[in-house]
Amino acid sequence: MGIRDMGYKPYEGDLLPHRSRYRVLIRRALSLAWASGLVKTTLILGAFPVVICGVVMFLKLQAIQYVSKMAAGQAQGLISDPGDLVFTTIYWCQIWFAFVISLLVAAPTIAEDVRTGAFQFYFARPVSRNHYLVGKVAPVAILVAIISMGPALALAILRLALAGSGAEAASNLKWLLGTLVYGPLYALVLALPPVALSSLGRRAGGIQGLWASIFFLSWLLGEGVAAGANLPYLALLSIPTDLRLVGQLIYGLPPAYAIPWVLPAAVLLALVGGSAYLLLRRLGRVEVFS
Amino acid sequence: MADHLSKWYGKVVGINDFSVEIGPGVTGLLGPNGAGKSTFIKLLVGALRPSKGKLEVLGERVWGNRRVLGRIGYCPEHDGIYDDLTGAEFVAAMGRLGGMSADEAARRGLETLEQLGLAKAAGRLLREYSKGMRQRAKLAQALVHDPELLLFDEPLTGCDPLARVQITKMIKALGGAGKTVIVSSHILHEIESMTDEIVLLYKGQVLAEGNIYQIREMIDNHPHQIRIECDRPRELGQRLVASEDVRAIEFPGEEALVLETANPDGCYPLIPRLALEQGIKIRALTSPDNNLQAVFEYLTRDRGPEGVAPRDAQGRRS
Repeated sequence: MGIRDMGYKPYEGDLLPHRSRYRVLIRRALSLAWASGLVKTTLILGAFPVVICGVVMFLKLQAIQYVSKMAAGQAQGLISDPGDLVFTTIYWCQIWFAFVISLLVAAPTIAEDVRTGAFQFYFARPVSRNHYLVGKVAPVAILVAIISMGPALALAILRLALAGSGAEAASNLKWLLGTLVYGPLYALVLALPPVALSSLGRRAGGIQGLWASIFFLSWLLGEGVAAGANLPYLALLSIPTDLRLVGQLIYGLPPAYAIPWVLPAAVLLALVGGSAYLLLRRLGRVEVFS
Repeated sequence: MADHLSKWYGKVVGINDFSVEIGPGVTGLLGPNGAGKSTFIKLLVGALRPSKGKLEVLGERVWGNRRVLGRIGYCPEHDGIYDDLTGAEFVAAMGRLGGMSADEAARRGLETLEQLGLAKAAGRLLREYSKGMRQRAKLAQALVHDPELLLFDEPLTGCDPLARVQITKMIKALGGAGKTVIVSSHILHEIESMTDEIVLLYKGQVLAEGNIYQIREMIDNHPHQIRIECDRPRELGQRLVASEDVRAIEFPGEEALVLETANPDGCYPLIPRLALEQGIKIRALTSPDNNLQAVFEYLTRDRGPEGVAPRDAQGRRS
């Protein structure tokens, strides 16, 4: 019996180059994440703060103009420039949504593959360990960037659009440039560690609990002790505080703690680097036993 | 081609000093559970790294070799399927990972599912599939990119009789078309229905390789047990004991009998015939030897103190 008797036809089409696997894996992970109602809800809810901050920014600028007219140019300094709402949004508002995304998408991403035994399908294909790793980290980073950097960029652009003069626009360009630098770092800090934790076990719930504990306990302990005992260096223990201090440096805002900027930057670098190292160690030469 | 290949997991040996050469057509890997069939297949598909020895697949080493992996189709024994995908999405996703464009993967995915009798279920979620349907979906993902080498690990597990016939036909057809197909099973008649060429594995080693009829002969010398569950076992036993093929009969329960025979091929048709003549209702007919463990122990007991057949001049075991 020939194979064609079964209606089987050999594949005669082209095969895409190996680098296309990155795109395939990222798109697949993004569409799976979008299929989750919780992720969709978080992304939609995450758009509200930017609307509110946008309205506040507009009203504040109107107020500045009004006071400026009334006080005949003497109003400078009475009302601060609303540009700093960009940092308020990305840090204080969006960090909650970004954290939820990292919890929902990043923490289960590899653990679920281990639990279901999906490795056997990936690694029996022309999919390298690097394809797989990028395919797991990039979608989380993209989603975190959408929820954090997206609103900040929108506000930074709004601030430029509402500038009354070229000089005012130029002085507010730092919000846009700052977001372009800060956003990717922010996304990596919230994406890589939970994905790395995900490679440590097969129970998504356990990984989610671990990531939430690390994030919030470090925040609580670091900031709480630093503020309570007046020991600013303890704030370095907190991942969100390090992110805040580096953000303040990038946007040119006064730092929350009198700590040399290089220290929180080093902590974040170590966190990202350590997570990447852990992922490479865990998955770089993984063998599929079951 | 495996040359003195070994794979161990810590102190546990998966396969040991394994040498075999497999060419185009269908080859069956036969052995009891724990014989090393899945380990060997995972080595062939690059999922495991050899601990020792040499392994070449399609003329190249396979571990970490994406070029070779693109030419292999693998159907694993265990599920590991994303339940929230439809059959069509799953097969297309695997085609995409194999390098096909989105349109081509979707088209080929549907075509392959249709071949395996899943056309109507292609749009349903995998979590709604029966065990047999999931098995066929896994086979479809192995076939979607039209690979040269196909590795099927226990492909008939959980399939209903119709699906078994369909899959068996497909495997034979693939072999007939010049593809290299390696199928593992611990059930002799499953392998027999697909191919004559087998490699017999036991405790991580090649016990024998070659034509199934020679091996069948060896196996048939071993007393074979058949368990019959029916409403009047003693009456049926009386009739059966008169047959020269039946060596002994036991009654382990009120509604069951176990017979021992050296000629199972003669006994299997005899049982329903006698039951029909007596009006006895048979509920189940099973072979306690099906996992081959007893047969393999019998074979290895007969073949020297090490329990493994000696090699011939070419390094093969006979």
